[in-house]
Amino acid sequence: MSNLTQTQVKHVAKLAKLNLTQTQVKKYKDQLSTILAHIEQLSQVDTANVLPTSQTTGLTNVFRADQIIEKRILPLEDVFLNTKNKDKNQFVVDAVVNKDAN
Amino acid sequence: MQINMKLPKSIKENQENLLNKVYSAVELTQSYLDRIEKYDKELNAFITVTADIALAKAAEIDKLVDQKGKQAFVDQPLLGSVVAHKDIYLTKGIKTTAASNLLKDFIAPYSASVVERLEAAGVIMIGKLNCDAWAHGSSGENSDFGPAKNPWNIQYSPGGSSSGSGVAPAADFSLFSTGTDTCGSIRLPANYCGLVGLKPTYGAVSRYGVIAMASSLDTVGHITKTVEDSKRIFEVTRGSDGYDSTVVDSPKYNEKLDPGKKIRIGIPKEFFIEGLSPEVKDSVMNATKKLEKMGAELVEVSLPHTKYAIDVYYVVQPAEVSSNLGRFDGVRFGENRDAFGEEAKRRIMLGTYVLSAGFYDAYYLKAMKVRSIIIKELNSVFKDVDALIAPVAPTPAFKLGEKISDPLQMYLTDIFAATANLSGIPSLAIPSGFTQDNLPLGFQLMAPRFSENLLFDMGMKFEEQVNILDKQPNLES
Repeated sequence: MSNLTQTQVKHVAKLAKLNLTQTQVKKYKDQLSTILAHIEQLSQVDTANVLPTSQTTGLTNVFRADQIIEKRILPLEDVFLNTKNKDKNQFVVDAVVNKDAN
Repeated sequence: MQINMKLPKSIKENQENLLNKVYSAVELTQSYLDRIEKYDKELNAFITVTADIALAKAAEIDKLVDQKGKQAFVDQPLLGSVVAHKDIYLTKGIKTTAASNLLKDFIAPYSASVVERLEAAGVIMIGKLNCDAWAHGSSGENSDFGPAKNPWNIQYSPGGSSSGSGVAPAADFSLFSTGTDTCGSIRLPANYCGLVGLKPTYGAVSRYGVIAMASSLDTVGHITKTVEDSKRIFEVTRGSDGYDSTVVDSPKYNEKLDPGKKIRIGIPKEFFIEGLSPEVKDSVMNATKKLEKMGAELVEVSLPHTKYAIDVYYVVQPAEVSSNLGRFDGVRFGENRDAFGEEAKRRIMLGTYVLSAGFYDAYYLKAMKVRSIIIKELNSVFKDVDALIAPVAPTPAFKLGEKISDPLQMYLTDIFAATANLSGIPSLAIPSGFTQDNLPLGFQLMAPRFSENLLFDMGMKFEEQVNILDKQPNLES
């Protein structure tokens, strides 16, 4: 399982929205395979009837009042401070839907 | 003003000096700035130096001390302490890069809760510190701004990921620094630079405004010269702010420790394994003996599944990294995803893979279950002992370049750090001496969740016996 193929690496890169060069694909294929081989020691552990842990302090749901906290509202100037591409107080993004598709 | 002005080793010493006019806050700040100017070209601890902000704040503090005298330090418990922040803490109006080219021009629109609390307590912020980009690394070499160097020997890494946070207090560029610890990133630089590093309990300190790495593991803490300072700072930073839902205001912090109680310290045999450097092993065992002389009782304990901790960590952490770094798309801020460095891409790839269809159960779910077993073992051991002692890392500081081309070897640096993060317990890294090559040595003490006060108490007693602060790194060579 731990020997990744180049096809798998390319597929994962696509899922993660990363553009990789062919050199990087080869390098990550080898490096990730080595790391995964180490991780696979986990299969030696008997985890039957063990529940997974995702949180360590025993918190369940945390609620807060449904109200506006003035202090946390950023002025528009600050909201757009770091963008390279805005148009009339809106962020410009690449098209997500192809206009020719029906 | 002279560069050799005697700089303070603790918050208390500094405040007495300010009160008694041994120096002014402006002179103090200028002295740190002069040292940064002179030595940081080589050590590379800072990404941004905020000289004007620091000097303005120092001038305000001098006025306050003139007006209010001693009361000024009662009102603001950290008044006049010079701090530098790891550059993944947002600082309003100041560049915050995460040491990544992706955020090289990012100006934070608000400050992290910890930054605000420290400001309110009277600190002087002198700058933003270098680290592994996105806090991914154990040596500082994954920074897009070049690696920071260990002040004790510039051939060596200061430890990562909070590399600059180790360098700054060790080189007297600041009195203390902030850092983050997801798997040793505070304790390792503290250990490699001869300082005290606190990885708090998960949920003790708000992470609001600190760029997230792996959210079920991330903790924010600090690096200081003394254990007492670590405690003073923690008393300012801990507690809920309403913005980080994981923060718990534990009643344990109000409990008084029983001074007559004999502390039982567990020595987990799985942390003293083959591959542990003899010098590290000897120094930890010496520290253990000193703690015993001070009245502690030593017990050998076993945590058999902690040997899997680093493997669990390298599933859970990249999975969470791949999710947290998903928000960096170059639309609202930053460059596009091509600007991620090699290590960030590697972790995003690994995390995306272990979460992907067909592999989730075998890797991610499995890792979360082994995490449960590790926690259960620890909980059970803590029924018998009050604290655990262990090395921070298998070796003292390693050379820059030694591990950077082999990611797995770099990851294994943190085998002894992972347990505290996976289980959410606090850990305090304490310095205890030096190797034959004059590199710092130390150990970590771990305790049950929200037991920081016990760690501070043990640490302060230890540093009364063993104080390495008389020795300073020589930056002239």
